[in-house]
Amino acid sequence: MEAYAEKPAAPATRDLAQIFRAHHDAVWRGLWSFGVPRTAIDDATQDVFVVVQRRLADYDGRAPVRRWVLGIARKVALKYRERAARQLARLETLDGDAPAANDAPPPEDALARREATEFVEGFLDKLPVSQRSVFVLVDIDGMSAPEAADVLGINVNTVYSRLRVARLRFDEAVRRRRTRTSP
Amino acid sequence: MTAPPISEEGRALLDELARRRPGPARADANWAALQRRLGEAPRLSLVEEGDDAFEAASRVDGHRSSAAWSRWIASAAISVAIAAAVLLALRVVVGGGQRVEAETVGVSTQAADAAQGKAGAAAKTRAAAQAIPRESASRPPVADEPAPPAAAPATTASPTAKSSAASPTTPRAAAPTSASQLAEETKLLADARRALAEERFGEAVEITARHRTQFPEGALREELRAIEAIAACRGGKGTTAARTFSKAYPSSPHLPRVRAACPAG
Repeated sequence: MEAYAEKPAAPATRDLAQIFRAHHDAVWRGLWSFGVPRTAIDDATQDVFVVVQRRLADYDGRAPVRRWVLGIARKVALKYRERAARQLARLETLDGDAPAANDAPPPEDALARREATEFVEGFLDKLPVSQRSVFVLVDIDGMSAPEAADVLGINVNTVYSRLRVARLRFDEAVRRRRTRTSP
Repeated sequence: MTAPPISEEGRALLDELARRRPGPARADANWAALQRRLGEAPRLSLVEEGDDAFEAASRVDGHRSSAAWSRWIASAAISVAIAAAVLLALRVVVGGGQRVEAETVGVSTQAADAAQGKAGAAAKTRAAAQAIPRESASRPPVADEPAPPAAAPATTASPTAKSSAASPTTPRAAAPTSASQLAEETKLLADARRALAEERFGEAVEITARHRTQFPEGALREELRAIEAIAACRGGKGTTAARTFSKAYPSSPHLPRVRAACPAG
């Protein structure tokens, strides 16, 4: 998780390759948290950066780059969700994205890390999109609540209340996992 | 007003997720795909030009260059088809050979199809419908053009067609551009265009040099020479190529771009 830079970008950093490198992961996770179906996240990620490229000259540097890029991601996600809603639940399942199965059996701690990742993913996939988007922006990508409110176009108080519910649920899930894994 | 803090255990799990999802391999794959998409004409499944949320962006000229270049390719392909049709008509009038006609039509329209699916098909029907060469060369190809502004192809198509038809080489040598050759040339043009767009000027010049060696009389040589001139200037290699270009193609539709990149040329 890279630190979230609050200061506006200097013109030198306003270059597509740099923006892509710095924000690809946040965009990808953002799209996922905004409810884009798993099978469409890569396409949607590319769509976001196509728009970024087109709008680069319009970007005024007032908002930090990440907030600007995630704002675009949210609009793109809305479109994908509308389409997915029309195509219905078919794409909503998680298993479209099996982890790369081409390597040799992973060592033990790699297995543990994969289990940890899958646990969090499973938790997030069960969260309603409204809570998931707040949780991912704030607790994974390190945004402040007002920034998340700005990206999502919702009230700050709403961000706090959703975040509160999501964190309680997360800690509850972590507790259950602990009792399950340690006999 | 705050939400309850996350436990250390939970924090560690979230950091682990952030490290592993989506992961560097996915970033690389998406970057490669993005490069392909930006190199081609914008092919956006869900974010369209007319979308009001993103419309402001499409007005920015500097970032429309890839679409503009794609129209160059389209118009060049159409020009080739039309030029071939012109030469064919002349040949039919002079020689009256039925068999030659069939062959040449096949070759030229096939070539255009290979380079630009729909636009090529449009040129094909036009070439077939209009046997009068001058009219077909000056008529703007509006049908099936995916990008809304039809003015660009209209202005670029006819001079290119004329210069191809009026080039000093004999008609016999220029007409039978094979489909594979045009596809090859189109690929070189796309590569050069991409290199230029990504400011890899040395590579762009290299690609245009390869085109010059492989296809000295190629159908897309004017476009490649333009890129060579622009890349040379922007890459600090001097304005010699630009001067050569403006002498060789004084009425080229690409000349304004070359001049813009090379103020001294």
